[in-house]
Amino acid sequence: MDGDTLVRRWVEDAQKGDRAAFQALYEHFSPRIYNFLYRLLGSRDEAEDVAQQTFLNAFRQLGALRDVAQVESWIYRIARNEVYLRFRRKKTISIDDDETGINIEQLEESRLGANPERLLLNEELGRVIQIVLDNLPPKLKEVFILAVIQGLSYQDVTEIVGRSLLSVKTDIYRARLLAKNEIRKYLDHAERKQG
Amino acid sequence: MGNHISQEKISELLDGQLAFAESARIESHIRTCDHCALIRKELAAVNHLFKVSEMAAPPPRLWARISAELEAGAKPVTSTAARPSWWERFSGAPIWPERLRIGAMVPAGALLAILTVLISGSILVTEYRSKNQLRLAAIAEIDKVREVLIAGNLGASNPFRTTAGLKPGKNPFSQYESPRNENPFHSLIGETQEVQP
Repeated sequence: MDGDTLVRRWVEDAQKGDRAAFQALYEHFSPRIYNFLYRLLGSRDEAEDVAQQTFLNAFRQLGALRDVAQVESWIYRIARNEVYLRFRRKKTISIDDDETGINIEQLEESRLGANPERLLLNEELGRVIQIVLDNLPPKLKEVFILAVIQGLSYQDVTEIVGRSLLSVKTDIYRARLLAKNEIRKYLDHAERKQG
Repeated sequence: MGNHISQEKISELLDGQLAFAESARIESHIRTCDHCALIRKELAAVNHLFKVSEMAAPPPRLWARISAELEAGAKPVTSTAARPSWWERFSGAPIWPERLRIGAMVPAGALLAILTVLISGSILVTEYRSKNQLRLAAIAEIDKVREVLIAGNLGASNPFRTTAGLKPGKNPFSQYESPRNENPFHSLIGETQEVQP
């Protein structure tokens, strides 16, 4: 039985209230959903809270899922909506916020080795990446995470974020460019300090 | 291709979002163009950096938290696909071909509309009748008062009257008996001093 068929069966059984089937769905999708939330929120604790709410909402609304083949995109949408709710409650960031600007000092505080070659091998790479992500405008960040880190197709990304394909393509490209420029600035800065 | 490839197109190429023919054409150009090759290399490096980052795994306690909430009573919304709808049960066939299903919806919909009108109508009629009774009762009371006021009947039937045997000309609100010419405030004169201009 292939993966898609298995997932379909789990969804159908979970829709009838089969708790074990829902757990199987959780174990199948939670690593990707959690990673998405962690990269989006920048905090493991927050990602855990939102992931919990995401899967509870998914369980409650599973009966409303019509196209079982789109269950992954559907769960991503639920997760994203939960993140928005959290943003609105905290009133910290607007999803349309277009400001950016990476703080070099912030990158330095990541305790990276000054040697650029060691950067790629250093276990703090993840922290650097997170800082770069955290400094992307939210609108660009979410599509970049979905397409580049989570590896979803542009079409899937448009379904999750509810924007046009053109808008998604443009924002992924802009995010990649911003990330490239800021990583380069950091490497140049680190090299100058070393030199 | 004489011109350079747009960076946005190279970005799409790296994400595997281009059709095979277009990808092949762009790759062919990149092989002969140092500028585009550098752009591709830089954007690919960014991709690689993010893709090799470790996936954050959910903590083991996450399922325990979810499970606890489920035990506490979170219930799934019952799937409408899990059991036949009411009109399917009504028609006696659990599964209809789509055309028949749509066809059955029309008379079923009409029946539902008729039932809705009948039920709403009966509720309104009941409500009207009870309200009408109240209205009639209110009119009866008003008539009683009108009779009293117009007829000048200050007898025992006057609903506003609390004392019997009220004399004509007597202020019914006054409990103070005083001669007609006496100033009821006379006791205050002499206690106050007139203000001299």
